Amino acid sequence: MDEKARFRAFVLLVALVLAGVALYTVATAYAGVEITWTLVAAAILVSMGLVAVAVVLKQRKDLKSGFPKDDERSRAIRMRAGYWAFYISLYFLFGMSVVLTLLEDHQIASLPAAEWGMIYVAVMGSIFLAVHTYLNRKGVPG
Amino acid sequence: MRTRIKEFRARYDLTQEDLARRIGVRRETILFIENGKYIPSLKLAHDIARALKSSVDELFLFEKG
Repeated sequence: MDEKARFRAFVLLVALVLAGVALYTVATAYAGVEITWTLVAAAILVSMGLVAVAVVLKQRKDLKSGFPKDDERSRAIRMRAGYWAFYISLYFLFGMSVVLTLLEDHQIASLPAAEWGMIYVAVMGSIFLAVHTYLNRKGVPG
Repeated sequence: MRTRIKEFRARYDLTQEDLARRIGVRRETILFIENGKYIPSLKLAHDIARALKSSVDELFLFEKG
């Protein structure tokens, strides 16, 4: 697959993910789920959309200037950011399980799985974004 | 790790963008390699050396310790 085809595939994938989350947001609003979580879902959707638009614009500009969409350094940064996001969110998930077990009777423990899923996605995405931005500025340690 | 990429670029009057385009990487990658903040793979080091008509040994200076 050449560079332009991969770029189009990426745009399509991002559009599909955003459409899925948008559908979820609308569906929960219609189903009468508490408005707070619809707003959280909408906030995640907007953040993902903004990041995706920024990434797509930068990649389009780079492709037009004759630079590749990514190279070994950007792949190394992505891999390292993914590694950290995965491990930190695993510990987050474990910590939350412990806290929820301790707070069994508390209101927060009764949140449905979909809401926890949203929190997990937000935490994982934020860690990925933070580590990616940090390494992109400071360099990848050898 | 120190590099002499900047010195060799100046010798051939190449900007970071020119060198990046020649070897098919992003401009930031050349910037980070020049500043010693990214250690390239052997293949990329070889590609840079070839683009600057030099050798890996000549361009990349690894300090002991």
